[in-house]
Amino acid sequence: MKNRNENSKNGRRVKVPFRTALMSALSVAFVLSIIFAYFAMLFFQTRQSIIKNGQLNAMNSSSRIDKYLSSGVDTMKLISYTLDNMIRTGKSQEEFRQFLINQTEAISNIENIHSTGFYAYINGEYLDGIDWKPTYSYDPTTRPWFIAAQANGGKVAVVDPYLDAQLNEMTITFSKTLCDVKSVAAIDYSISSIQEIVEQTAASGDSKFELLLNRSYQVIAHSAKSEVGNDYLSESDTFGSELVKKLRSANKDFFSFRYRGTEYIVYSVKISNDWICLSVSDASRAYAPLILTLVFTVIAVLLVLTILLTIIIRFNRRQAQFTALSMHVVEALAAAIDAKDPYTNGHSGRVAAYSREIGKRFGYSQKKQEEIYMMGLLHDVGKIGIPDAVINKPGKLTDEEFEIIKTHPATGAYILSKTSELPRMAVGAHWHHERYDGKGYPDGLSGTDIEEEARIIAVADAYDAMSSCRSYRDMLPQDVVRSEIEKGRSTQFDPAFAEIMLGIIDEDKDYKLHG
Amino acid sequence: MRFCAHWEINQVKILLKKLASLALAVLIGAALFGCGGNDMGRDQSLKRILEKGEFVVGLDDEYPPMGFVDENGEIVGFDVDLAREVCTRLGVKLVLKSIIWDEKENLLNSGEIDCIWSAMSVTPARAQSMNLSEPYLKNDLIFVVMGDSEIARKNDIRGKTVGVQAGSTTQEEIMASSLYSSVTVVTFDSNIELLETLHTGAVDVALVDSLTAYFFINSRTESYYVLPDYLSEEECAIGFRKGDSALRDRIQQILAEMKADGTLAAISTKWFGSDITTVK
Repeated sequence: MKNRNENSKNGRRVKVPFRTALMSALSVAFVLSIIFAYFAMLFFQTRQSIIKNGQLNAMNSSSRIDKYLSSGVDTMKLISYTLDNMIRTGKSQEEFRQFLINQTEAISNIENIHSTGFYAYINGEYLDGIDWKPTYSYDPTTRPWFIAAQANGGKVAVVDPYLDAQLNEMTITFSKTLCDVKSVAAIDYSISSIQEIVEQTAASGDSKFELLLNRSYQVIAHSAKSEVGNDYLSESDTFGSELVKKLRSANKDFFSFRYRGTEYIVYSVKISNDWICLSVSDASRAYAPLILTLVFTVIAVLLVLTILLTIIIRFNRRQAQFTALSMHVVEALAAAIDAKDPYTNGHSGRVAAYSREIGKRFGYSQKKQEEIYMMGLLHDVGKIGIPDAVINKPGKLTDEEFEIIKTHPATGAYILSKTSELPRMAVGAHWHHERYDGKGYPDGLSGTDIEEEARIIAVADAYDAMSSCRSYRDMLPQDVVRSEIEKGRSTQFDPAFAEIMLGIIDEDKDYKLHG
Repeated sequence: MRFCAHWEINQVKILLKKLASLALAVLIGAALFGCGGNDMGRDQSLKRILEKGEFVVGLDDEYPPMGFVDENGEIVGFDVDLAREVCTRLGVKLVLKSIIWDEKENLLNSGEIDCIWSAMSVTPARAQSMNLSEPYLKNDLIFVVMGDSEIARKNDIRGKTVGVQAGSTTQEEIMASSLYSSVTVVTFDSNIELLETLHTGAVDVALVDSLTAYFFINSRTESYYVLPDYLSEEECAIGFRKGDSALRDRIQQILAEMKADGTLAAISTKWFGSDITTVK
């Protein structure tokens, strides 16, 4: 029972945190959405800058590789032009051989080109610029350089790398058919320069990998050198195979994919012979500080909001306690007034209740109703200053005594003027004896010059005075009370509130209201 | 005050309900629209082929090594092998239909063939009038002369007779080139007919694509020369009817699978010695 009582008492307080909680939830959601929107923008910007860097890296590698490859292509075009003329003019095999040896020597003097020289298959015979003699079983027409040239029409073919036995390094071959279609000339290039380009790009940028793939997705060069030579298309469930899978289905130059929990962003650039330069960045690593900041921001914001909420709840509780306290003090004061006159015991409480009812019917808000209730409780506070002998005197008062009684509104107003936190409290006490026709006291105000609450309390006060026992008489019958109020309309009372009071009386058929 | 709080909860509940019903409506709408889209989609091209159980490929059968008649009288070649493999994977029968190259668009649009698969060069006009696949091959237009010809450069062609295939890009290119005003152009129905005419002297120069020219010259003992200048580089694609996107996309997908499992490289190697395909 006790608990329940406490709960019902606390009912007034519980609603405050609930409302606050709802508002807090909304504001937390709002703040968080702003934070997330901001970070989404940051993530987007980070992603854009990764793509931009990838583009720079891939462009840089590809243009340098293109340049390196085009020197091979140009070399082949140049030498083929001469060889074509030699074929057309029917030069001897020895003349072809001498030319190749000559050109091989020339190219060995060119910096930046690492080559073992020219060789060719002309008029059914293998000829070599460094005079390498093939073994008996060597069939040039089955070699990749020969086949690639044949398959590539009259254009210079770039043959996929293989390990050259003489240079002991990975080598690519440029080969081209000559004018008679059946003859092919070729030159070997070291691929180490391409590998260097890729490694340099990787070292100067902040990408994860730089790599170069040929048309069938084999690794020609890779910043992680051990990857070179791998066939990504035939692998499965490796980084390379995932990369190629995405590359093949992508319809943009850049794309992203996840491999083993890490997100990679890739930029690809095709070079002239359909090889593909790729710059791979570890997006997860770039996002990590952002995620960390996001988490910290969210935690900090939640912490601040929690503290704020706690403070607000505490403040609200204090507020509720304060409101309750002031109500209790007012009630105590009212009890003290009523205690002076045993006959009027409970008068203040009843006037307060009637006033609140009239206010409610008149359309007062909850807050105004509470305010007029308190005014009602304290309307007679000035009686504290009236001697008990006058208040409790049975029988008719002398004029002198009545003059004393008439001081209580002013005294009440003076007492209540002390409560500056409740500035309107004095209104009821001060003017509840004013009359609508101006014949009341203390100021003789009339009509709407009298504060509205005072006009309400005047009706309520009169009703209670008539409907309760007095030291000199019993309570009056209801019909008498009703006709008195009715008579007082426009004279003693504001007709609007008198009308409301009459309505209340008419509803109170058993005359129980005063009890 | 308490009522106030309840009122807010109710408001929130109503709001949530409204949102939920809105989301539901959107979902249902999307679903209906999606279904409607599928049902109403007029692209039945793939379904039609699968139901018919055959895929009619139109090709130039005098176009080695893409498609040509071998000594047993059968049409063979690189494109034929590709098309056959695609049909096997589609589960339909391959029907090869030899066409006059100049009539390819008409045959495709009249529905007599389902696609043109004959190392057809990509041109803006063809991309307009057909639904082209992604390019799968590169090809160049080159000049071929007899071994004893005095023509050694492109400029030497002026005043000579140039043979091209009718309706092909060779014809378009020679007409667009600066040479056109100073040469006599003779058209042929097939490239082989053109190349074989070379040694009769009826034409001085043949403008053909490099893949065919190389296959032809390598299979001959006579000496032919290729000029160092080529007229243009081209890409080849498969041509489908405008609107037959489902069919085109499915075949594109099968080609990508063939690239991944090495079938494409194997077929290319069989005909060209190495993988010259450019499928992604």
